[in-house]
Amino acid sequence: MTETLVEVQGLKKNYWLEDHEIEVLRGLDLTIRAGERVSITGPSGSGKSTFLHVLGTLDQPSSGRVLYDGEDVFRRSPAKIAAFRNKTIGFVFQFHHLLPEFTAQENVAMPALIQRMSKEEASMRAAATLTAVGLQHRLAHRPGELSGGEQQRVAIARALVLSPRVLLADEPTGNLDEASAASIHDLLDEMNERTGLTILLVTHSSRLAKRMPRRLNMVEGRLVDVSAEISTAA
Amino acid sequence: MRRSFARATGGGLVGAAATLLGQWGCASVLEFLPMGTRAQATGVALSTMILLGVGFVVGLRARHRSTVDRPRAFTLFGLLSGPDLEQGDPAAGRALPKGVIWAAAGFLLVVGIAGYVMPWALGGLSLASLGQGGMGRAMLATDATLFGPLLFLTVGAMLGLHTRAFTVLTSMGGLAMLVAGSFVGGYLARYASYDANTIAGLTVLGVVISSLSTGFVLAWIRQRLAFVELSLVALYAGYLVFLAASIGPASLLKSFNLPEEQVFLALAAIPLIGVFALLTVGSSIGFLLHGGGRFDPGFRYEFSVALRYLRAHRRDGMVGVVTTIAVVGVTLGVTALVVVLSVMSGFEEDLKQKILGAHAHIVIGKHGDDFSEYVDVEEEVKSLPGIDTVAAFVLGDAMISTDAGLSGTLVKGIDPTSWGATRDLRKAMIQGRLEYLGEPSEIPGARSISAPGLEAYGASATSSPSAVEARGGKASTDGQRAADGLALGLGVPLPHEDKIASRPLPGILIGRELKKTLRVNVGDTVKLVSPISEEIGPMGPTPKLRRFRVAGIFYSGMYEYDAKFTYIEMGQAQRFLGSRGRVTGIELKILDIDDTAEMVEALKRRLGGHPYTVRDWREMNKELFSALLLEKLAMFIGLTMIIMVASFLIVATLVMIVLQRGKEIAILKSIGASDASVMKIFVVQGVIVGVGGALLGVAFGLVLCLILGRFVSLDENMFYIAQLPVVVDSIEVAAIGLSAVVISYLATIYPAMTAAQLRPVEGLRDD
Repeated sequence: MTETLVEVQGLKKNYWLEDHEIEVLRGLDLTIRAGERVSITGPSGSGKSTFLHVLGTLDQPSSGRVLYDGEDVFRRSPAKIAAFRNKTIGFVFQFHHLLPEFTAQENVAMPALIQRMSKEEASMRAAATLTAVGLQHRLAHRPGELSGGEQQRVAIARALVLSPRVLLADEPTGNLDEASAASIHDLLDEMNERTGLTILLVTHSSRLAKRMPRRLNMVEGRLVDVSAEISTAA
Repeated sequence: MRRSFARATGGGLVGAAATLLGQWGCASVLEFLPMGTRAQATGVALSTMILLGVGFVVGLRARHRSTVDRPRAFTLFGLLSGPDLEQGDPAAGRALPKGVIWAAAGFLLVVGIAGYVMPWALGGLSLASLGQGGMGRAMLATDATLFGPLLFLTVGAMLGLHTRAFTVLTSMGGLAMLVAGSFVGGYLARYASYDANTIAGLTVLGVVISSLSTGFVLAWIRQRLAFVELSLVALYAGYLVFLAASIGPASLLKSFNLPEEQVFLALAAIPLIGVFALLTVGSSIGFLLHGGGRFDPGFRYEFSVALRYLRAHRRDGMVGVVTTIAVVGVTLGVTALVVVLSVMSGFEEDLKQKILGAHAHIVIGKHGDDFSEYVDVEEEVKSLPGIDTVAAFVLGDAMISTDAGLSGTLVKGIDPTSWGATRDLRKAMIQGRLEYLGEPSEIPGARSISAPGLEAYGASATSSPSAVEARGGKASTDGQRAADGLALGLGVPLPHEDKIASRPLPGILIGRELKKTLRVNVGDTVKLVSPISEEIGPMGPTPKLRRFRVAGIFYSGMYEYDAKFTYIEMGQAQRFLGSRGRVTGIELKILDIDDTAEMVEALKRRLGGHPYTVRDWREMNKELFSALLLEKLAMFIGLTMIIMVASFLIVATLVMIVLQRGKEIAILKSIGASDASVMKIFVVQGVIVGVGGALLGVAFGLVLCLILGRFVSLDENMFYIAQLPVVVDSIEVAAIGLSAVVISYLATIYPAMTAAQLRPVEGLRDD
């Protein structure tokens, strides 16, 4: 459990807006070990989502490095990065971001199909994963026919169908009522215990953040470890 | 805006300075060195260096001022640099700010104009002085100064933007491959055949194949569309041809065999655009197959996603409608092409049949005027397998006239007893009989004429000079008057009139159109006047005049033929045309018309070439068939425009879908879909539209062809054909379908590329 999975070194990210350069991330350093559960809190616009996107290789850093198992992922070719994303990383967003024309099972099977798994195997895996998140009775439903909580469960199933090593969750329960939110977080905890899945959770809610053993706060593009702080305050 | 303008102006000024410098440098080198090829090359190289340098600096500056959030895909440089600035690139995360694009645009514009105007303005000073070989060469050299600076500045700028040696290396490798491939194609062609057309065709094929494979290999290696490399290769390839023509040996330009005014277009634009398009096709295929980092020909999930996007019941349903319109567009184009080309093929086939029916398949001729050993040659040829009929003939020009009309005619002497050789002509007889040629006494209404007689309506020929004189005043046409005048002018009995009155007049077969012109019927008498004379009269050579009786009317279905040809018996013809014992040639019909080329070769071998000539029907009617082919080609290109327009509908549909589905593309990428995979989704959509349209179009086209061929009848007098002829050529139909699919495929590349280049964060951020 002490093996280092992700290492972030001097990560900076700038945007150009018209003629102004905006510094979003101003030099982050972070080490995450395999199986850790980490929460990141912070005000809107502090760069939490950007950080998550860069960690998940959806966005490029302006400078600095992101190492997975000691290897700089951004040195790889775009195709290799896509394959890496497919295999190693699972994303859950605030909005479920499911493909509206496809059923729950098809949505969950999509990452496997992208990997060119056979249709039968992908469907079987998808069904199994949906069962694991408690949606075995919703396989043939389209996203529009599901409740918000169910949609987010489908999204989690899609993130987990290929057994990734890291789950990057960006406000996964921001749009849900408390009961649904709690059950989603129970599900994530359960996955972490069962499979040793590393979880990075971005959230507004300090209550949810407290569920995580390691808590980080993002302030003006910099990370502060507040694990100790909050536990003493509580 | 003002700043953009200032930058554009600034860029333009730098561009003007660079052009001036480059050209001045070049020109002065040329001034001071003797005008050898080497000096010219040095000059070109010098200006090239300067321009490359300037471009490089511009590119470098652009690179330093670059940024992330520009819609790069829609700008010139963005399109060129696009994926190169994606992840994994040291220059990643940077693109051109608007100011630099403005500056670059202004720069290129001014350079372009200056490059074009300056050589004219400066007269002999500039590169135009290279043009020592006629106007075309001068223009070529002038245009080289337009093309060159633009090219090298762009290349320099690109190099500045991408200081990766690998990019340049792979492009050079690509160029080498392209050139080598094209040369191999050309040389192979030269070995394979000596026919100029075949060589040209195979060379073009070599260029096409090597362009396709070069693009393919580049994309395979770079794992992206490699537009930078493609542009470099295409630019260099175009410029190589251009430079070679403008400063190479003068014979090179001649060997392109082009009108001088077209050289710029033909030598710069066509290779550039054509090669670039082919490279793009090749590279897009390479990217689709290998863009995911491994060989991946599958597209199953892409196909299901594409299908659902095309149906689009969700949202506003507009996509569904536009998709339908795009399919209908392709369908219309393909239908039109199939129908029009089939009808044209029908007319061509009809013409071919008529030509083959009326004329020989192969004609053996002889140089000189002494083909008297024709019987031996006939025997020689008859023994060849595959020969159907052999018949010697005499052919000559003459005038044919009656009181009612006059016409030039080709008189052909045939042997009416040769059953096989006259088969088609016998079938074409609509009045009278071919056999009457041999038995003139059998012609209906024929009788021995002992004295000139006037026939019922007084329009028949008379023979005595007095009668001719009497009729002189009431000649019905000018031509008639001329012909008669000739006779009158002699003032003596025409020496070659038949003296033996008791013998029946020989028969002649005329065509339906000629019959109308001359207003004669079977049994009527006509006069043939031959310009060839055997005797000299008091006024010089006297034309030979001979009377014939119409033995029959034929109708071949070809106007030209029915209006011009007349047939008489062989012996009569030899006498009339003054070639006793000699023939014009030997006509052959062969059993299988598809063997024509082989038969011609066999005959040439058998006869041993000179002085004998062997020509087949296609060669004899070369102008006609090449005109038809040209017309067909023009039709094909014109109607392909319909498909092109439809392909723009495909572009519009796909761009709409890309814009609508930006978020979903981002999701697919976030769960690991590669750029190639996203591109596949959109290429598949376009190809579905293309294939659907092509299939529907072919189906409709064939049905329409069936209906037209069955039910449309034509005014025979007008078109000389009773039914609309429709011949469906399966190869043509396949070519039409294939071009529709290829055009649709090409149309997908731009939208599919923008989709593939979409950054996932941009799609996800919108919420």
